[in-house]
Amino acid sequence: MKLSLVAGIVTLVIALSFGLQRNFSPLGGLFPDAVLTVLTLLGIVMIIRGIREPARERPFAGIAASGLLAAIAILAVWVFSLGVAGFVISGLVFFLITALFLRERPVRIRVVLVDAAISTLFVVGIYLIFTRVLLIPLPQAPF
Amino acid sequence: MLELLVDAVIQNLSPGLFILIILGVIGGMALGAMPGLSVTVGLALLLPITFTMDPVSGLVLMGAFYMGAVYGGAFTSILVNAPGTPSSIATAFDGYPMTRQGRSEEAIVGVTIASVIGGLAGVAGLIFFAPLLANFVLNFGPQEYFWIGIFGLTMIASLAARSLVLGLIGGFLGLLLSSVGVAPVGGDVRFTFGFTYLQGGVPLIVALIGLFTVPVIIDMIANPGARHAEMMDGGGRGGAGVVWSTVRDVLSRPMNLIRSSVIGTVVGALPGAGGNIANLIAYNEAKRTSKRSERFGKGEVDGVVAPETANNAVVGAGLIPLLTLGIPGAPPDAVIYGVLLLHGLRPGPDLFVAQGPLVFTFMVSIAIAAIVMIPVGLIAGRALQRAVVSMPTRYLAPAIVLLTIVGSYAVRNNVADVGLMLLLGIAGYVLRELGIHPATIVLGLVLGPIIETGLVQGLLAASGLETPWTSFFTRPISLVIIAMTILAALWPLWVSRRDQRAREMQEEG
Repeated sequence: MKLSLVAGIVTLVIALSFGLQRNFSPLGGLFPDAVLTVLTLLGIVMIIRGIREPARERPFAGIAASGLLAAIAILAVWVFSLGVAGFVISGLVFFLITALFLRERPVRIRVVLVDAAISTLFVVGIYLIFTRVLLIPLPQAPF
Repeated sequence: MLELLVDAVIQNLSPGLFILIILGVIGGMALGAMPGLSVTVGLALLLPITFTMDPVSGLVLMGAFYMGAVYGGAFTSILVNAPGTPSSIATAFDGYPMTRQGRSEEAIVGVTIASVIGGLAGVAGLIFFAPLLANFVLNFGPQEYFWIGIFGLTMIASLAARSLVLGLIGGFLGLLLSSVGVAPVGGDVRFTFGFTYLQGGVPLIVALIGLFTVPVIIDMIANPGARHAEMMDGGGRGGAGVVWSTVRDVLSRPMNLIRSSVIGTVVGALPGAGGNIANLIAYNEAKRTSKRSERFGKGEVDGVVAPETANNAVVGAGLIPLLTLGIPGAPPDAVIYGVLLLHGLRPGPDLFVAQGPLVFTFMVSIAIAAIVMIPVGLIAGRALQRAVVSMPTRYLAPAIVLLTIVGSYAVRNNVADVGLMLLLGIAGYVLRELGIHPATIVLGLVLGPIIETGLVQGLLAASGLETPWTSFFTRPISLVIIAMTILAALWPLWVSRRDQRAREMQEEG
């Protein structure tokens, strides 16, 4: 699908999803209503442009879907695990998984141990700096 | 006044205060370089330490820390596309492309010079023009703030390299995001999608980290070889030669430094504006007036110099409304206001008379802190730059993830903010692939509250008039800003026509 067309459709979907939420006083709705109106018009312009212009660019061209999905999956599970396992445990696990995933050479026991040591250094180091020195709390494991 | 200034310099160079300035700059730099930890958070963390100090030492430490933190925010903007503070948003536009080209050292040296000059300019504005600027900013009402916000939106034209319509979509998406939560005037709860958590709105820091940094992390994990290959392609010149050649290069265009210093000083003196706005306006003006405007966004050193000059000028200038009128213009100034009150000092015109030596020592200490940034920045800043550049992607990517988690969590101590950061990051990645620059969304998010508050308050303030909206077009300062807005909006069109005409003439010739 053409880039302009996709951009236009995405814009209209966002404007519509926000528009369906609106239930404001005249004063509270003044600004968001103006923004939603302009956004809708811009979405329509992009759709018209997408229909009329020849396809020059396509979104996500040249990006490996497997790598992209792996990146999003790692980040999503890491963030989700924060509430379950806390900063330190989730950090240790996913720092190591990411480091091993990004290794180009075959993974051997020695490599795992080195990466595990570096993961521990980073995660525990950052945890101690923030919680002990700067006194900023970080997510804790509920157990 | 000259006598007070000389005494202040002598006092600041005493070993005790000078060491405090160095420690403040280093501490501020370290904190500013951490994405998500704002200057205000850093100053608030420092506040208890100042309880036990005498007023001069406490204020000097706070001032040096403030200056260092604003400067430190540039490092992560440049090195990993994660603005350490909202004052360094625009620094990432050219800073990160410079890193990708292997020119991060040049960028670090550039921001160091810029920060020093901007910091000194802001203090000069504070010392010599404080009463004048204070009287000027008192004439700013909601209408003027509304037009300043609209003026800021003209920057979309500069940021939208691919298409103006796509840039406008990004800007208006940002404005829409800024209206999530409780309305600034009236108290309506808007666009929460049934989540009470969203009543607090979308925190700027969370959005910044998500929109700028998460797409970079996704790129690193999805295509780990690309970062190294790009930096190698860039050549990566380094060494002592970079320092002097960059210093000469930056100083060879003094107008960029002067313009950005003036922007930072004037915007800094406006209560409610601050470094968030100043760095964006300075970037836009630098690009608009540069002879090398086509290089902006692709790794132009002036693109990091302009925002960093302006945001450091804000440090000194932001104290103008605080010290002269007793109005903290920005959240960090409110913390300094707290320190002053804690020691029984009431900001206002009388402060300069009753506590002249103390006020001048404080103001001069900020200027000295700016100068101290040269050795500190060139040693510590370049060490950090080398560490990040030489770090393998397999460790750098998860290390950045850790910092993004900490930064977004620390805003409200809420795991949901980390989830929101990731969601915005993935959305930012998709929108970037569709041609919508994340910076346009952030621009809308920053300017949204200023525009909306100005609009609604302006209409309410003029409700006695038959047609309240006319008040936006009749005030003298508003008219000047409207004229500037029209000029800024038409400028890219004029440049484009001029270039086209030049090309046509070349072809004919």
